[in-house]
Amino acid sequence: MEIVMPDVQLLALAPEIILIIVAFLMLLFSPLLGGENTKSGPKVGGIVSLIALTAAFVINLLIGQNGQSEIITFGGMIAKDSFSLYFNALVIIAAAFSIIISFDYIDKFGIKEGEYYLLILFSTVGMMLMGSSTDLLSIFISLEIMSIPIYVLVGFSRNNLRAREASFKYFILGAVSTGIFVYGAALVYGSAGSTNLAAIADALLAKPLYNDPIFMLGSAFLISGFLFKISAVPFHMWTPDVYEGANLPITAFMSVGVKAAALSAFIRFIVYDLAITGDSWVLALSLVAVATMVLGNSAALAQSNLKRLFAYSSIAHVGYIIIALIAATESAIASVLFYLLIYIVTNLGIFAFLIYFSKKENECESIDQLAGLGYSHPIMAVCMGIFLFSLAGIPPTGGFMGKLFLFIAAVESGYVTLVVIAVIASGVSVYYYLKVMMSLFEKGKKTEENIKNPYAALVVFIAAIITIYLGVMPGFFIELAKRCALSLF
Amino acid sequence: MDNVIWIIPLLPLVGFLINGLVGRRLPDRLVAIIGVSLPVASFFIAVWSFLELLKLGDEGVLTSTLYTWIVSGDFVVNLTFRFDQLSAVMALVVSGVGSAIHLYSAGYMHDDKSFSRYFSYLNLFLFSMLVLVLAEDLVLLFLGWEGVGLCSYLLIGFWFDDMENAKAGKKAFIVNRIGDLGFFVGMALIVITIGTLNVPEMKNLLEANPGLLTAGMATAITLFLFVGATGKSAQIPLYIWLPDAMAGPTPVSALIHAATMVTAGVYMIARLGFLYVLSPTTMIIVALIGSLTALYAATIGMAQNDIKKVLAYSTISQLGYMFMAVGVGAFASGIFHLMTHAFFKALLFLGAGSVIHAMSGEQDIRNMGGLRKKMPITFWTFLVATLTISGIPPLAGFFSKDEILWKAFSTHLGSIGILFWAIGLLSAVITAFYMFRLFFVAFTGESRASEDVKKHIHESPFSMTSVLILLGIFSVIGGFIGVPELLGGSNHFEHFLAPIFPHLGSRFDAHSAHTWEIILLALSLVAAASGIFLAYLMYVKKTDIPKVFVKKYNALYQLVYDKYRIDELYGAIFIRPFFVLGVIFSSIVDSWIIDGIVRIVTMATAKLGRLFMSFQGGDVRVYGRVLLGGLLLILIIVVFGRV
Repeated sequence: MEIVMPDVQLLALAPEIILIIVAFLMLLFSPLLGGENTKSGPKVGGIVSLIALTAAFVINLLIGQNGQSEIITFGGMIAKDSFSLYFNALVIIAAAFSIIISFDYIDKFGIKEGEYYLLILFSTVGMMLMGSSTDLLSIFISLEIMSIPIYVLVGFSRNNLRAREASFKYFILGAVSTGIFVYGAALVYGSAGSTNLAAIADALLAKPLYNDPIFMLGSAFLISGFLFKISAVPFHMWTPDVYEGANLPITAFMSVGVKAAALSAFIRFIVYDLAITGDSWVLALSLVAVATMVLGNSAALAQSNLKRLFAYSSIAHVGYIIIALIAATESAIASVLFYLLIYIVTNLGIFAFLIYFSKKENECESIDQLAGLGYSHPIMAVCMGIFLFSLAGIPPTGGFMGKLFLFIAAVESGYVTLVVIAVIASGVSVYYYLKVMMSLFEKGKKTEENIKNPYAALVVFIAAIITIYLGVMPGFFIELAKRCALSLF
Repeated sequence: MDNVIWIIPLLPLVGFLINGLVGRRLPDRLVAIIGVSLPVASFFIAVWSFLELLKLGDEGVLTSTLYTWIVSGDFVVNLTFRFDQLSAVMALVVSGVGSAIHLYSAGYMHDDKSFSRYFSYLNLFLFSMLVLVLAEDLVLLFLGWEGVGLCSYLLIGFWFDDMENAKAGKKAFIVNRIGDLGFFVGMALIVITIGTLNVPEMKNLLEANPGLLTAGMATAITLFLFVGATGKSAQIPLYIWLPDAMAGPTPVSALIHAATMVTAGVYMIARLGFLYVLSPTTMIIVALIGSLTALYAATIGMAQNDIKKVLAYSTISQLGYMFMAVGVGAFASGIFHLMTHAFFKALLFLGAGSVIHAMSGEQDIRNMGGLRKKMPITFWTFLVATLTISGIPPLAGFFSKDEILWKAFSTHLGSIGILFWAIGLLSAVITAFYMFRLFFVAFTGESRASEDVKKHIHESPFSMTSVLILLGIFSVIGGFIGVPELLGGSNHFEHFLAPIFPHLGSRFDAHSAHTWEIILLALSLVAAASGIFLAYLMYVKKTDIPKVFVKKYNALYQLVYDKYRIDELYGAIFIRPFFVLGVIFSSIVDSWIIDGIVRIVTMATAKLGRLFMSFQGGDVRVYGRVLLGGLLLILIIVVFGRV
């Protein structure tokens, strides 16, 4: 057997490498950075992580400006094209904001271990690699790099029963789904003779493999594996429990980072391979999309726990996104990229808001805890209103523009029925978003407390400004999303 | 963004944001300083931009594009401000008169409990109005158009504790919506036919390819746009909201409902003059509606006793003159009158405000009188304004009104111009009459106020009187920039605006035009003088004449006094049927059919939600089973589901 040394362009992976090196250094020095008796230790770790993320972000931009349209390296396992750079940027932003909103939070909740931030960094590297992976093997490996730190982070508050339970559940179900994914990859390899997405596509074009039940079985397993990570129905059951059990900053990080990363790999798989097979996967995903939208929105109606409510809300948003995945055209993928940007910013803003109003050892997670905040903290409440409007898709927020482009792209591809269902479903969603809003402005209840959490407040403001900006002047980012989506085709 | 004209509208917006967001926590003095100084600064930038524009010469124009607002295929809307000759005049008038009225308001409103709310609205209005006049694109113009409508609504109903005021605001808003619909249809037709709403681009496209618009389409577009103008500028048949709009504070009436906002329709037609000249039919309709409105509103003005109502009808009537001007193609004359009217009508309203202020809120002129000694500045400035509006030379109103009458008479549209001129001349007589009736009754003679009120009558504070004097000066000298050649002037104003407007000929040759112009001039003077004399005769010399007249022609008097009962007519024709329809819809369609569907849907959704929750028990084995069940389903569909 001939062994070929793959060509390796380390420079293309510079952002990931920086993060890994910093994370390992932090691991090495973690006894100095955290522990029972240190006071400022974890914060130093957070600041170091932020600096590393900033560096990674800048290098990511520089690679994007380089002019070279696509760098394929590691024997075709990794591709740095505009698409992956876009996702890398999203993931870095998500990680950075999650770290910022952690600063005050972990003091309040007595988290002293220095590993907290470095686990976020490891997971971020996994997410970034996922966006760049062009091979089922590298997707699988990055999936694990992303997931394992998350399992740990969910149960990071060891003394919290809820957190431990959530972590364990997530781990068990996650392990099952990983098994499903690997099995699917094996079947596809057996049928197509390669794990490389582009090579699979070549094999598909050479002979109509979609007549091959082995290949179709394999791709169904792969689809299921992806659907688990983006928490689409019926693989969603872990989501509310895990979101509720995890600490708020981790919930924020998961709800945006894991979804974006899993979607990036899923999109690649769909565009490279699935799109040239038959249309049975379209039928399956259509049913999933409808179920996801209906279940997500109607289950959210009945929630009074905010973490669960936003868990279901995030499930519903995945439903909208799947519609565009089915369309799989350039404009549909571009609309997904744009939608994800808005979704990430808005959700980070919401969780930052909840963190802002969390008290010592007591997270702000019941809808009753918001009562009257609109009068005692008007500016924060207005920002929250912007986020809620954005999730509900009401102008002039980014959420409206995102939904608009998503639905336009789907309608252009002829999926009118799905869009009609989506519009009705998002009509239903207005109810529970406004329920949160109404509670903010409930009369008669006033909480006169002095809350100081400049970090969370900063994230809330930035997110609110970006949400409005994207709703009023979406031009630049839509063009960017179009350009990045184009690099896949 | 190569120049600063975008700052002109920005400054009042800043004022609105400051006063609107935190104004309630600031001391009133600071609110006033912010509220007044930002418009003044904006005026100075407008002046500076104007000087820059002069340096550029005839073809000069300043534009500043902030960003691309809307892109939809080939249809692009940029957020662009355009400072050309026409918008320069408008911006100067709006920010100049606007600043003066802001200053006046600081004195007038000083003990109002919602001082900061007042200034935030007024600043927002100025912002919207400046956007309207500086917009290069009709979409942006429409934004300003709606913005001023909103502010008008907010300020008419400013004292909303009184239901009547709130109703007046609502009426203004609804009537304007009808006009706006016309405007919107007009814009839509332009997009369909010409393909852009950018005004200079429209002009270029039409010049390059005149076949873009058929004659019928040009008429349709311009008429729909004119419907919008009749709403905003209170012309027949949509004028009915303006008299009620006097419910707002008096400086608001001066700024919004006399000097600036109501002239937006005139401005819009002048701006789109190149479209209007494509349709002589529309031109004649515009001129006819304008002249009829001028006459009609003037007759109502004769019979009103509320000082602000008289001025309101006078405004409608003067706007009629402006529409007559743009209708006969004399766009520059229309804008000229718009400008002089802004000076003297603002002055009249502010003078009235000064009187109302002094007389503890009294607005009925029959309870006034004898104000000369007690309020000398108000008295003299009001007299100047009254002379100006009556068309006495060499005050500003004389030049602008006379020019309109002459342009109407000599219009290229043909001898129908004589009709417009005749109506205009008659209206001029009536205008002089009712204005001097107002003046004689309200200001001269013995005071008829109650003793309580009499004790308090005093001249207004300096912040108010200084504005009166300022506007008085402009009412006197404002006309000199447009002195026609006949009187030895060189009509700078018309030449300045010449690059903007299409050039239409006159139906006279130069020689006979000269003769006619002199004849008409003399007739105008006679008209003004006779109106004033009549008023003097009836309300100073023989004060029993009006009483005898009212007794003899009581039915006619009542009809005019009741504004020809048009409000009642509209009520019977439009409002009642819609109301009945509304009752039917609300009691049957809405509460049974629509609500029924909604109730079923919500019940079903809530049930569904609870059903889903019952699965979500927290048992990981159940989760695992659901997961594997789902996997099985997807496997089956993907492998066997191919159609």
